[in-house]
Amino acid sequence: MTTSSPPIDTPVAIVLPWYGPDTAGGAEAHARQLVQALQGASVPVEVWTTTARDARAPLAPYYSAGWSTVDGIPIRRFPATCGHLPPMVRRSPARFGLDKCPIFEWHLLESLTSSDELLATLATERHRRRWVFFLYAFPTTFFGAQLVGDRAALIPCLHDEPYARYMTTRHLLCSVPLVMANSRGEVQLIQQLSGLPATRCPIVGEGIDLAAQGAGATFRRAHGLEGPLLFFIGRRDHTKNFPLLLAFLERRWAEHGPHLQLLVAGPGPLHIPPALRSWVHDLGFVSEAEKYNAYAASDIFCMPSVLESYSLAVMEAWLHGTPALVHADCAVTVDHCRQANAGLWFRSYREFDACLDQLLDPQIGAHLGRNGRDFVVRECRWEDVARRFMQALNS
Amino acid sequence: MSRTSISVDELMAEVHAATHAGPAEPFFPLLQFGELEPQLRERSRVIGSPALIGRTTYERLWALINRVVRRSVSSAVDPVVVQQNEWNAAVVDTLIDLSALAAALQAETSRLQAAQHDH
Repeated sequence: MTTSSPPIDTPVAIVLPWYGPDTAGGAEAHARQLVQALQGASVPVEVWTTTARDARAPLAPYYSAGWSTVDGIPIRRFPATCGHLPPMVRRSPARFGLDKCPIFEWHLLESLTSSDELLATLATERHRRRWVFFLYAFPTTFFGAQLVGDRAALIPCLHDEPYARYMTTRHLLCSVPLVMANSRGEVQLIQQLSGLPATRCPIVGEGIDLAAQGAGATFRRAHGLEGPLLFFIGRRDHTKNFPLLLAFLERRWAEHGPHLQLLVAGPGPLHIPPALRSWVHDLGFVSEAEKYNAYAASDIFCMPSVLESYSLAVMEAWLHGTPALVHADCAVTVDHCRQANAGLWFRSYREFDACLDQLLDPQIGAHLGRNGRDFVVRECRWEDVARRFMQALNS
Repeated sequence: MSRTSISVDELMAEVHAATHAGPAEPFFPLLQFGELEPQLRERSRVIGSPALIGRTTYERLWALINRVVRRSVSSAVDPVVVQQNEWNAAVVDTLIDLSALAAALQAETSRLQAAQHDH
């Protein structure tokens, strides 16, 4: 359903640590697509960020400082800083609620990418824009949101990790007038941590590129792949719970034989013991087109991560008619599987094994895949996300 | 079995029923060790001079005194901290190497078991 979007006259500035055409990361891609959707909806939007590239190179200058334009969107960049609290905070920590927080929480704020100059400029220009801060843990968000007061909105991309339970996080959530969530699971976590009423944390959600269409058969031929395929994309480390997937699959191979092969894509090294290498196909870091082909070629998409506020990868898999298998401890992905009726969830190895048996049933796999595609086409249009964003901001 | 409508909650109920009726949950010791690895690396580092932050005037004064004392004894403390960190790093590296060797052995065992199933 599409209704007319309420107009916004005041420019909207999106603030986040990293942004740009070469910048990797889920939240950064989310910000980039949201900004484009807002621009498409004729909302005056700009981005304030640092000169650093992304989490893999968090401080080194990569982009030029000052104003520039990316895809017609004004970007203002400031030098990145780290290792200390901004001078204005050091002068009066109590102004930012830090006097009530333990020292180790100060250390986290000191250790993450910030920008003293960005915060100082933001303080002087706070009345001229509406400010939307991405990523809850970063100093640009924690101090920036408090500097602009009631002109701030927050897209926290919150998931249930130890930092989410810091006092600084609760203080931030409570001090911002509007917290925009990506999913129902994230709203539940926000309310559990901060006690905010539902009216202050509306679900704005995320969108995906609905025009994406992978060529599964061509991909299988090109890579010489036959038989059932389980696909994983993302960082191949503990943050995405990838070792768990590998350990469970290894056990399944030992119990049933290697009839299901693993297809892996994503950045970073992949450490696979030589004995298992013939059953694991590593694509490494892939282009968007290759990624869509892999989704289309796969029988099951697995996202074992428990730290998701919204899984773009699950949505992309569903767009290609591939059912999902997610971890039962991730409320967000489980809730999406239930909403879409398009995926199963596991906690133990025996559950993982039984879920795979269900999803490899051709009738069940095809049915859940169709459900997933219908859900994504219905729920993940960027135009609708931009409309919900503007409604929330104007509420 | 032909199904007219499929609900993930019903499928999960079948999964749980199969899980409860099936064999016991296997043990994954290497996975558990892998989860500990980042903490092991983090905790192996000794810091000779943790950051001093004073939030009140009184705390700031004590932080200043601490900094002066630290500076005066740093020539005696720093070499000990370096040696301790070198030893800790060697122990952690050895544990991780052993875990990699155990993982390779386990993978080879899995491969042989899988080959038996194929035959």
